[in-house]
Amino acid sequence: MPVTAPPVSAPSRASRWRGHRRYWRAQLLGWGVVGTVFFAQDLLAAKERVNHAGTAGFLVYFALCGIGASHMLRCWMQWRGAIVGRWQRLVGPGLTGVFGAGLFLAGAVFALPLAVPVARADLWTDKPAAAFGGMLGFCALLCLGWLLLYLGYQSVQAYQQALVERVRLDAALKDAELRALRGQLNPHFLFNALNVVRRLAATDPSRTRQAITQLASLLRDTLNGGDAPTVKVSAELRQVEAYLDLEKLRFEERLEVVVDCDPAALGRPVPPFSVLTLVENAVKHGIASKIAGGRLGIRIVAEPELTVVRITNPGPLDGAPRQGRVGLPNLRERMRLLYGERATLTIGCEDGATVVSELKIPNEWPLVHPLVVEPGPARIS
Amino acid sequence: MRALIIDDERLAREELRALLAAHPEIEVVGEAANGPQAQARITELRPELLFLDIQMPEQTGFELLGALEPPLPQVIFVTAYDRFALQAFESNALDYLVKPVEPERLARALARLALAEKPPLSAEGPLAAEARVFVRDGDRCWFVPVRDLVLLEADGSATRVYFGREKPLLARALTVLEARLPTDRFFRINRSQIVNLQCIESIEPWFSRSLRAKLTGGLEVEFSRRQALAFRETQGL
Repeated sequence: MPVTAPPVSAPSRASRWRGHRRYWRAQLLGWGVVGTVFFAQDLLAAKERVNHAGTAGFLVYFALCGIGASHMLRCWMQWRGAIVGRWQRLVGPGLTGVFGAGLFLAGAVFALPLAVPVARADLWTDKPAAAFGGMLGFCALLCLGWLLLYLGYQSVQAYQQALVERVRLDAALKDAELRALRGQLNPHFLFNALNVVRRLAATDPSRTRQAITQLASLLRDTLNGGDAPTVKVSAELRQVEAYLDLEKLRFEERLEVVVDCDPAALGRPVPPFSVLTLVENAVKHGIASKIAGGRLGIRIVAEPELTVVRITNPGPLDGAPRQGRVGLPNLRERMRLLYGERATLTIGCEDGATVVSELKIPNEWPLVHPLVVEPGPARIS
Repeated sequence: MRALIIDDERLAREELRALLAAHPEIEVVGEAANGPQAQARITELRPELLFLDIQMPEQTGFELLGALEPPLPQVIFVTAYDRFALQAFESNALDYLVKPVEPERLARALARLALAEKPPLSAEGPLAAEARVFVRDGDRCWFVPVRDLVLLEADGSATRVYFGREKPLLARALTVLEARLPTDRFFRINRSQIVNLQCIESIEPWFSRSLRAKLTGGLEVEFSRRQALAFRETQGL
């Protein structure tokens, strides 16, 4: 039973509230049942005992203390970060926690006669030390049982959540492929490129051959590429450069491209079609929309923890883009699923004239998912 | 026929020129790479035909047409692929070509053009009855011959034009349009309305010596007293 969970996205406030309610209901129910069971057992065991009210009262007190102890145990485990993570990390805090909670509970029980002297005889008996030891062992066992139940529940939750996330990631990736397919097969881009290549065929055969080769390579990468959640920066840049070369045929002097990539960043992972999506948007909104065109800058920096991709194009940032920014919601979703909050994408306007899109991707290859998932059907039919 | 090619890509313009070489009846008199350039060339060269790319920087093809003074030349739209533009073309029965342009499609479009009427293209003076006005409302647009306009109604600084079953808004003041409308056909019936006399189906006397008229399409309008008087005089009643 896997106890570890992959990075789980932050649950919504509503679901957290539901989680709390469920927890407290379970606590009340659980400890209530424990109390009732003891009460019933007591009822059957000592028939001549008349003080049922007292027993009942004691058991209510016991249940409440039990809730308190187990809640402290839960807080302790959460504080030590033992719930999410490898199971080896559970053992240490688990044992100390169980012992502590048991001690608290046993102590609470044993302290009762200080307030209620009537119970002295039953609880302290004539050998208080032994009685305490027994109570401690019993309480610790109770707490251990509680902890196991709690962990089991958390485990199942994590598993289900992970499955959901995996399906979402697959769907988002498929969507990205389709979009990127549309992006390279973006009819607008494709037909304009073909139109230009047709013209070149009459005037510049060698440039034509080069353009056709680039178009083919762009399409091939898209059709083949998309099972991995990330690709190397070098591969992504190759796609980007092929795309920009073709766009340069159309825009000529209106499109000036400056690429500056840290050699250390070339081998690093980025989501596929991520830089390409940003570059497409930069061309559409920063170059094609301007009579004079402008400069498109791509800068990739290898920071120790993050890979930073910075794309600049002439602004200003138009408030209501005519055709919307293609592919950005999908990119954000894939980033969230892969990296949680640690990957960021910001688009802003610098000094009123330059639009800067900045993508920060953690420098890590996301784990091949620990859960067994059947390989899906072929992506491209 | 004198044609102007408007497209922001140089190679696309060259490609179209090369295709038009097979059609000697079309003379390409110039090119433009964006809206402002196009307006200048149109004023300077007065082409009869525009090959107009829709996707252009800072001013789209539609916006350019809206800014031109009527009468408008014939227009053949050109687009690589634009779902919304294609929808607009289809639903408004406009002539368009897709890039890369197929020679047969170009030939057919030009043949259609040869059959259409060719009104004079002076930018001043009264518009001829067949001259077309470009009207755009949201994502719908029309080339409307002047004679099909039933009613023009002032709406703030714009004018609502009624034709067929449509009544879109034209971004020009009524008085500006009034100066261009042929007076033998159009009459101002009150401060905010101009009526196409040929679209009046019936007239009847109305309160205090004014007139009420029923127009094609079911519209009903009232003359002002003064204009009713003027109208009677011009009609010799």
